[in-house]
Formats: sequence, C-alpha cells, structure tokens
Amino acid sequence: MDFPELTKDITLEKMQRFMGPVKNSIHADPELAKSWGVGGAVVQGGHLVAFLNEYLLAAFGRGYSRGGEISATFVQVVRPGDSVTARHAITAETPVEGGTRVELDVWLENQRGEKVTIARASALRARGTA
Amino acid sequence: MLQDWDAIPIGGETGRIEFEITDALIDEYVAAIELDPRLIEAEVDADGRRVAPLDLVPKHAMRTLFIDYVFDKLGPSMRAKQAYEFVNPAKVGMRVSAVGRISDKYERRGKRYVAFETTYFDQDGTPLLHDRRAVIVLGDNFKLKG
Repeated sequence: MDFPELTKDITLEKMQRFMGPVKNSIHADPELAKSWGVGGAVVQGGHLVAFLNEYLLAAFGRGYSRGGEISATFVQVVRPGDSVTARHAITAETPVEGGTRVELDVWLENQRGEKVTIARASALRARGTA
Repeated sequence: MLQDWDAIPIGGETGRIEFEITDALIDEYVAAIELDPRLIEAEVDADGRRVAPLDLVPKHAMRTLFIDYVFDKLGPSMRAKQAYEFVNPAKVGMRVSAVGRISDKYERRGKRYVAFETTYFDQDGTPLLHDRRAVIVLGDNFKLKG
C-alpha cells in the first residue's frame, strides 16, 4: 500500500478542459462566477474528488475501485494559480474476508498548507499486500 | 424558472441519461484530469476491455442528471459535498443508465443545501456506483430570513 506523491497545479485552462464544452459554469467562466458572488472561477468539486480518487486508486488498486467509498466536503475554494497536494491518515484497520478494510481521512491541501477538501474513505487492502 | 425553497420536491427526478462507455470518452477524461496513464493501463479487465477511470461516469452524466436542473431551478450554487461508493467498474462497450433525484434539502448554519443522488447501472442492471452530492444554494431567493 504505497501512496503516491500527488500534487496538481491548477490553471483556468485545465478547469475548462475538465468541464468540456460548457459555457454557463462558474468553473469555466470567471465573469459568471463573479456575477454569482464567488469572486472568480473556482475548481469544480468533482475535479478535486477526482484527484483524491487517483490517490486512493494508486494506493489500493482494485481494493478501491471495487468496493471503495469516499465522502468529501469542500471546505475552501480552489482557484486558478493554486496547487493542491493529497495527504492521508489511516484511522482504522479491520480484518475482513480477503484482507483488511482500511478506513482513512484523506484531504487536499493548498500551497499554503490549508485543507481545501476533506474526506473520509475506505478501501480493501488485499491479504498478502503491504 | 427558479423554484421556491418550499417547492423543491424531495424525491423528484432531476434528469436521466443513457450512454455508452467508449475509448474516446476514456482518452478525453484521462487527458483532462492528467490522470497517471499507468493507472488506466493497470485497469484492463480479464476480458481485455479498458476500465473507465472511477469518476468518468459521474463526470460525463452530471450535467444531464443534476447540473441542468440546478442551473434552471436553483440558480447560483456550489457543490458542498460529494460521495461515491464504487461497486463495479465501468468498461468500454457498456451502456450506462441513471436517473437523478433530489434526496434531501436542509438548512445548516444559516445556509440552505439541496442533496441529490443516483445509482448508475450497466445494461444488465448491475450497479456500478452510487453518487450522492449536495450543493449550497447562493441565490437571493434562497436566503434565510432574519
């Protein structure tokens, strides 16, 4: 169970690419976001959870993609120019059929070390793996 | 037309979708998120079909299932929570279907939230993943009084 180093640099271009051909979105249109009172374009929550899923998939593989769970809360907005890094802390390990059910806190923190997305997750660590 | 808070129907349908998982969809998603391609290459099932990235299905479906409804009926909003339960992988060639619904609406710390949920199924009715999300509504029409 090796967790990767995962840091993503955020740009408006990447946000727009993630959104696809969508015009009316505060994740792709800074002016619309300002008119909604959120001060400019913000990264879509699904984009941030995707980073955490990449982090967990790299660590657990099929133990996450088949039976894994994540519940995330977006506590601070992420904007173009920010970078986010994934971190984790294991909170429980429970023996189950086929291995160990691992529960953990995972989060993204920005370049200032502030948590921007916090989540609880669980995955299966198969028997015989580290 | 925007809805009143009291008129938001818990259990109401917000959208439905059916689409096929294709190699092109996977390639587009992997590039958009800058996903480590080794994770995808590792996820080829025994039948040789590519497995879609975990978020591809909800990402592809969310506008039809939820966002159009949110934009039309709730107005300005931001996602506050997102939860997934991954049951079975989506693979190239699968036809995925889902119906989005409002699962809850609630007030917390002076703000109003609307929650949505769906389960995505393959063409045989096998569940792929459960998707629960909540948005905080920002429009003046949803501001709490007092």
